[in-house]
Amino acid sequence: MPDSAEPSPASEQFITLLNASHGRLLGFLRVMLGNSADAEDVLQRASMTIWRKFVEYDPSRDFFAWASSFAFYEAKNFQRTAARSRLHFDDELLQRLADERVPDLEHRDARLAAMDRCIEELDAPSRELVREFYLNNTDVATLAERLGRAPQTLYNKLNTLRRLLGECMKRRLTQEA
Amino acid sequence: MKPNDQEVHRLFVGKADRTITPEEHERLSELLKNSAEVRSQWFAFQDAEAALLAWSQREALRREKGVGFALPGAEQAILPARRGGGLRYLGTLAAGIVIGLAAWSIWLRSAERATGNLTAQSEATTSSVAVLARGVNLEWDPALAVPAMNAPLQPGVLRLKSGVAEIEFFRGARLCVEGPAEIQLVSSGEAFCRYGRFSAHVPPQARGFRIGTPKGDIVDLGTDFGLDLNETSPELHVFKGEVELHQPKTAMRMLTTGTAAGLEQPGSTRTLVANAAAFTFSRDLDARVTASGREAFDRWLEASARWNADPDVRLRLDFQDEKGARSLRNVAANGGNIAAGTIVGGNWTEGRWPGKGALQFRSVSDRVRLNLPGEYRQFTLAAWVQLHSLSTRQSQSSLCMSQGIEAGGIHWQVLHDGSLCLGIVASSRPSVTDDYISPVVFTRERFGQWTHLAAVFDMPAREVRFYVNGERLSRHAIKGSVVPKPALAELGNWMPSADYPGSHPVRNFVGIMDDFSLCARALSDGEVRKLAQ
Repeated sequence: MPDSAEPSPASEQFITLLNASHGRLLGFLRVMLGNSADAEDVLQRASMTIWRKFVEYDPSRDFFAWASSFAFYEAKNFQRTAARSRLHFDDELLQRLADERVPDLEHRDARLAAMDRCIEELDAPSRELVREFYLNNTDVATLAERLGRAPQTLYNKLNTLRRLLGECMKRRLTQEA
Repeated sequence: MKPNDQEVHRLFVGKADRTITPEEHERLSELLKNSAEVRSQWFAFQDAEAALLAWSQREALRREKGVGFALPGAEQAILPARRGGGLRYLGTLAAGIVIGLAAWSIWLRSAERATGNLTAQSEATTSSVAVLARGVNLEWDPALAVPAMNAPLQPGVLRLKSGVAEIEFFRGARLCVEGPAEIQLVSSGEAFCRYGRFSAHVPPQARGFRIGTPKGDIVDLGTDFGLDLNETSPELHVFKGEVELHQPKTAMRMLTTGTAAGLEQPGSTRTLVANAAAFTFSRDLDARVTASGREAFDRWLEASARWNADPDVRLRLDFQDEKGARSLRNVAANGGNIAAGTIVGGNWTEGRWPGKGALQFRSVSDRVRLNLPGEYRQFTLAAWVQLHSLSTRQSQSSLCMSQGIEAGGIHWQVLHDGSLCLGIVASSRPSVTDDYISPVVFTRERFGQWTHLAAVFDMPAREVRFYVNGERLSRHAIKGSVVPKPALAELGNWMPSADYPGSHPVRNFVGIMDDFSLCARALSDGEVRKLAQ
């Protein structure tokens, strides 16, 4: 029975490590795949591999560095086999993005925090639009229909917001640096 | 050519939203390869997107909590609780049990949402208390709810104008209602009956089942009883067992097998002999359900013959093949160039009515192989299905999908969130699919219910339409110009190619199908409605 199974020390350690690296692993995959849904899918698959390989993990090594190599291969594999496959970056670009993203991830937390404050600066209708857009898996057509607006107008408005938010985030980061 | 910030941002959002064209993608790749600055902007953009998504999810959760519904466990679902949940599943994971894997994936998804202090409860929830198990000639008051057969019922008022409905409460009590009647479902062990005639069967597990009425409360101690709530002489009849009758300002009365009581006045002394004949509607239900099923089946046979004769119907599978058949006949009159479908794995079962055949799809191997030659500038796909589950680990469940990812391929499927998707493969290299995605159709409450689905592709009108139970659900402008060519295809599954090396994503459908058509015409709203009747 699942409820009565005792976790082994190894699995407990694994969960703790994976939990701690989860955000960074997703951030790592996002830049290769381009969107969060695919990044989540790939991380789920990669987690299985990482768990299977966990016996080989040397605790003196950095867990993220070790686990991200499996995530990288899973991402490549995903692009090859995804059924509704879309446009993909080629292997050379993937490798370069992966190499440079690892050191870049140290800025991630600061970016997330800065963005949180930028969102709060938006007026209420704009915040509402952002929320609806991201919660509905970026399906602008359905959103537009519901709000009774032209999809293109709505999408333009959203992208303006995204750009302004991006600039705000950048501004905050340079101010703090 | 040096990019400006605006162009870069446009390409970034195109990639993130999957609206990017092949040319734009080429340009984005080139910029990313050649400019460290663009790569650095790309990283920051992706973090910004992650922040916006996380904020939106936190915001939604905060609101749901504020309104106070749907997330009963949200208060305690802070990090330590989730972590405990994860640990609990890990033992199973180590043992390699598939159920553990599903739970595991749910845990991972919930972990992504836990960017703040709160995380959404990872377990699915339902507020249903009963299920509409059977019924004949049901006419509900549309101003309130109109539940479908096998639909889970949430607390609330139902008004049955005519017909007989059988409601099974989750704690085990079965209540047969004859219209006109009004009943309020209170919990899995309680209802309030305002008027109408009711017959209850309360097995030992449901002991304590409570029915409120305007004339007093009835607590059932494991019995069969009838309740007639008419204007002039409301009555309670106990056929078997014991019932407590609580009326205002009077002592509780116990009624036992064979007795009955008038309810018009509290403590009314009108004592009667239980009269089962007044409640035959509940015992006749079996026969009436069978008869009404037979009538519906006969009507279907007639409509079926007319539909098969439609010159544009290229493939019609009526699933009325002889018992144990391993192929599905194409019964379309004009379906000469489409051969029978070949059944792989799936088992025969009963369809919408007794006598109606259906195929059950359960495992990753179950499928029906089809060959659909020709090009379709217009087509309508239609099917009667019962969906039994969706997996969060599986992004798509196939209704009908062309093999591989060849240009013109048709991918009609249910996505993991319960929406429908019609994908037309625009190009195989690079691989691009034009996806049209409907609003969510299959919530958990709809699992196990017969549902008619149709997708219309109309190139001349440049429109894609989705229909559920004959009603139009959504319309979408056609994105590309590739003419659909389904070629080799499968019902209920998907094969990446004939000789695919290694493992591939799973797309199998879990449920039952008892009718499938491919028509080389864009059916109108009216035609789809007729088909779904």
